[in-house]
Amino acid sequence: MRSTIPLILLLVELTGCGGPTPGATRPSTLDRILTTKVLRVGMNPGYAPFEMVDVHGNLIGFDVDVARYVADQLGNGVRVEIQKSDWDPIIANLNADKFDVILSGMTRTPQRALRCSFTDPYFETGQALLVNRAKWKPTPGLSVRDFDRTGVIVATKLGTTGEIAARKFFRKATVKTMETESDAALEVDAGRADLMVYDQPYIAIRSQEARERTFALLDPFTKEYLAMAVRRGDTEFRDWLNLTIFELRASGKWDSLYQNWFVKMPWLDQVKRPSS
Amino acid sequence: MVTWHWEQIPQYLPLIGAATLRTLQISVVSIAFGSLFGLLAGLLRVQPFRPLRILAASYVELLRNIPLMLVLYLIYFGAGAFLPVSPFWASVLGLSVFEGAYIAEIVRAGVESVDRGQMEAARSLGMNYLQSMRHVVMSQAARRSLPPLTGQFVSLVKDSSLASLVSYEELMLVGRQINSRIFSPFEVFLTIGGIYFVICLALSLLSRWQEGRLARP
Repeated sequence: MRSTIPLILLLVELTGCGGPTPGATRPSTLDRILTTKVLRVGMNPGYAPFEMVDVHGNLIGFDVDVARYVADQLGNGVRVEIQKSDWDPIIANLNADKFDVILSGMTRTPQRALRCSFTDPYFETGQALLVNRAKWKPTPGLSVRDFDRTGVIVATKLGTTGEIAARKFFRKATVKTMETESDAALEVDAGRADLMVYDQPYIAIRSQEARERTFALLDPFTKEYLAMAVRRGDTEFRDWLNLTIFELRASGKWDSLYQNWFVKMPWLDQVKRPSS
Repeated sequence: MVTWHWEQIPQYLPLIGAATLRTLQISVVSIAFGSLFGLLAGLLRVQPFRPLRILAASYVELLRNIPLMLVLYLIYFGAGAFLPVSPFWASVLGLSVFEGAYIAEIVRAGVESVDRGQMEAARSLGMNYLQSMRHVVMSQAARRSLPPLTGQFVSLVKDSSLASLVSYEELMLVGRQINSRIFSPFEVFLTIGGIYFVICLALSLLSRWQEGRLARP
């Protein structure tokens, strides 16, 4: 009988019944990345200049370079493996463990944060407008409010903060949700929509490409903070990413990436189709 | 562990209801045009004049061997660059041209299943080709074509979900819009799926009842 008490104590200790378990039972994402030497990044290509496909079919963009920077900081020969995902199920795919982090120009919103956990922002932007020239003239006083009329058609991409802004700011107009951002821009190009609501960097580039048919109102009329997303409760990985984002900015790397992707834009030739 | 959020659905029922009506609308109009294209192409495939037969066969083979999604993109984004075409009419055109190719085959099979002697008998009674076709052959072919036609109509209702890709706000697109707001894919798409199921089942039952009526002498 004497030996039973230590046995019970041992059982209690082994099963963790004796009190709060130190640390979660879920395996650490950070450890797994370091063991497998692969950082799996979820992206939805098509959002220039954050993630887009070049003429050779490779994914390039600001986010791709940020992902590489993150992998470099992990060291140990960790490499980036990009997993493409559609936009509307991208958080579901993260939670299904198809990748470790979403790095896809995603705006943090309280609603999305119910399904995943966001890092500190790594980019600040807002919504801007791409307008059809045949339907509207680029007069100096033209503002967002002028477009909120019945009969005006506002195109945007399904499930984005563009859609949220479109429904909020254009209550009288008709909102048309498209599959991709380029489909939405095509609606404006072809005159099937008066304007497109979308993130400012994309509108800036797109309006350069179709200058004869469209013009842009580039002053952002919303404030949005793009962040990386990890699974809810993955606080260890999120804390590490926050520090890395801080370093990205502090080291000057962020500025050089910004210069490359948003100011000098040498990549424009890499994504151009030969015909255009 | 799954946490259900069914309480999120009721607030969107008006939106879902309106989308259901649009799915019904686009399906009914596309079934009408699709049947017209199918009947025309099917009859052209069984008539004696060869050039028209080849034309109809080309239409059927072309449309049956490319994806519907591509047809919709060609019409809406391709032709849409030159012609003003609304999401509704682009979808109706795409769906009816596409499904028409399948319906043409059903019509052809129906006509060919009627014994050749029937046509010969009708002609020998003094009816011309069109009269024999209409009063003798087609009346029998229609009865035999109804079950496969129903299947095709059910397919069309389900395929109308692809109109979401050209921004027509039918059930599927509205479902995806709602899901992007509440992030509850199971609840949203089970609701949408239930509606498709009821529409398609009703269509099948309607045609079974119709079959029974046609079977009567």
